[in-house]
Amino acid sequence: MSLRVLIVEDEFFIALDLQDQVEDLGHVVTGIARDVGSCKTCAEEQPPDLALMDLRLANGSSGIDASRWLYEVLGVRCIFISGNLDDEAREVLSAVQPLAFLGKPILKHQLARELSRCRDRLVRE
Amino acid sequence: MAGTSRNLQTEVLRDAVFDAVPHGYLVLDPEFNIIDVNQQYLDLTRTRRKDLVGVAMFEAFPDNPDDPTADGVRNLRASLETARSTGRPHAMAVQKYDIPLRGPGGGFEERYWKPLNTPILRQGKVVALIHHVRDVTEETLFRRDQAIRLRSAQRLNDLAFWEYDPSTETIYVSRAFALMLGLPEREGTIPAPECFALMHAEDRSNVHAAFEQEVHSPEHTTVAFTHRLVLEDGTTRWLSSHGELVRDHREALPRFIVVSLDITASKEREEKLAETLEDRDRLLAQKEALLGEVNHRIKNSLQLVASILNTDARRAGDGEVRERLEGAASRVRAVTSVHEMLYRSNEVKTVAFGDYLRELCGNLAAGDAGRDGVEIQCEPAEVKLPADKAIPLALIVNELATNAIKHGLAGVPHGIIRVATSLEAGDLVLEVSDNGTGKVEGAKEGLGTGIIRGLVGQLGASLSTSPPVTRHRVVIRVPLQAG
Repeated sequence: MSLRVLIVEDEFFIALDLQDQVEDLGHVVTGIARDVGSCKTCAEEQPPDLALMDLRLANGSSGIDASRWLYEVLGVRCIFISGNLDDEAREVLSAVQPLAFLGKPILKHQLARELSRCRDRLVRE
Repeated sequence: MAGTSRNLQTEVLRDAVFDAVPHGYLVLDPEFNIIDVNQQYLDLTRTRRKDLVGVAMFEAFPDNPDDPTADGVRNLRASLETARSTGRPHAMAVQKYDIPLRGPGGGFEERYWKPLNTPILRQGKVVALIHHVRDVTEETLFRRDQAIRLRSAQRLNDLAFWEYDPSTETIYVSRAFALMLGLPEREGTIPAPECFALMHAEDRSNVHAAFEQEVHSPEHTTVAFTHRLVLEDGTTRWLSSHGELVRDHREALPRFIVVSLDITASKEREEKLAETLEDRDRLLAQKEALLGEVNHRIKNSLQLVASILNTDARRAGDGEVRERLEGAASRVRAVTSVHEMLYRSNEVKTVAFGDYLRELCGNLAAGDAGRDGVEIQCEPAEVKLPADKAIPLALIVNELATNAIKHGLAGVPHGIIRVATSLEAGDLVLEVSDNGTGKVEGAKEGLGTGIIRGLVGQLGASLSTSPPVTRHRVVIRVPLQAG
């Protein structure tokens, strides 16, 4: 079973790299969003199973806001791409039940591991 | 006869008394010639009766010619003349009147006196004068020395003396204290409220309390307080004051003798220092935050570069170009990890290199090595390294491990790479070994080897290899102390 993954990342090359890696691992990328607005549009057009979410997005918007919308409106949870989170940020994010935190550099084997855990969880549910 | 005898007896007794009284007496006729003198006077002035009796007063006691300010003769004459003309006793103020030394050396001795000149009247006419003196040299000199000490102290130390008398609610201010208060430079007594009014409103009650709580304390009880003065021109001065309680009578309210020291300069220094320290702490925190932010941005930019290389590699198709691009991406990732650790550890300048190596080996094991069935053993020393050492070392380990996986262990079943660091005599010793064949004989030196040599040079380190008897081994020794 392959996952439908929404990538929310404002750096084009990083997003493209993520897309390559996700697709190499046999999953489907439903879209690439650069900010909260495009994240909503993409997710409404093609609801994903999960999102790969960068915390700092374009136009000064925040991955926290985007993840909250995804969780509250669509029930979609995120793998956050940002290894270094202080306790305060983790506290704020706990409300949207993060699936995992991945640091930079993004390492393929770590991404593979987290996506496979998510798939197992979805299958169970 | 009996009467005469009694008179005689009384006269003898009177003479004896005259000689025995503890003060000096000189009897003068109305023209100021010496008629009589008592023993105490002779002792005080170190003279003999025969040098004085019958001699004119100012011949016997002339002014000291070496003292240009000598005014003993003039003042004494004026006093005697006053007593003679008014017929009433005249007391002189303390008078400096040096006495001539009668002896081989000659000269004068410095003396201070408290004279009282009393006319003796017969039928309203002055028939003689009693010149009574008390020698106050010792106390006068003592007081003078005290005053000099006090003045010197005040001049040297911005010290000022004052005296608070709660019974009259007055304050005696010295010249120095008047100056401190911004009043005309004059000593004198002023109403206490006038002085307290100059104190800062917030400090006034403290000062009052300091005095009030000791009002019933024994003598020599000390009081101390610090307060501000607000001068007429609006400036504020800080005073530190210390005082002592004195009591003139057992039942009376005490007085307080106080000395105040102007500590404005040190207070200002203290405040400035505190401000400077606060500034420093704020700037340091700002600097740390900025460095953290910079590390975060660098890490993001490096991730961007790695992503560019990754996407290029994937689109290059199989072959050498792809391998080169993947190698480049892996080097960038090694550097990115150092910045990630710099940012994560809250220590913006050093990296816990033990943790770093474990992570790097873990990533290699999960990545290329895992794909090729190679085990990576990691035995790092726990050491903190500055970024400029950690980054080249990270790249070296990345190259050595990658080389081993791609070349040394190619075709070797159960390949094992061992990465270990240890501290030896101030050097960090990195040892990377594997159970492979080592460099392929006659092979062209690859980019990886050149990179390692260059980085070893950058670190000022030395590199040695051992031929693969049982293991292929590379040892790199990095001096950690600068210089």
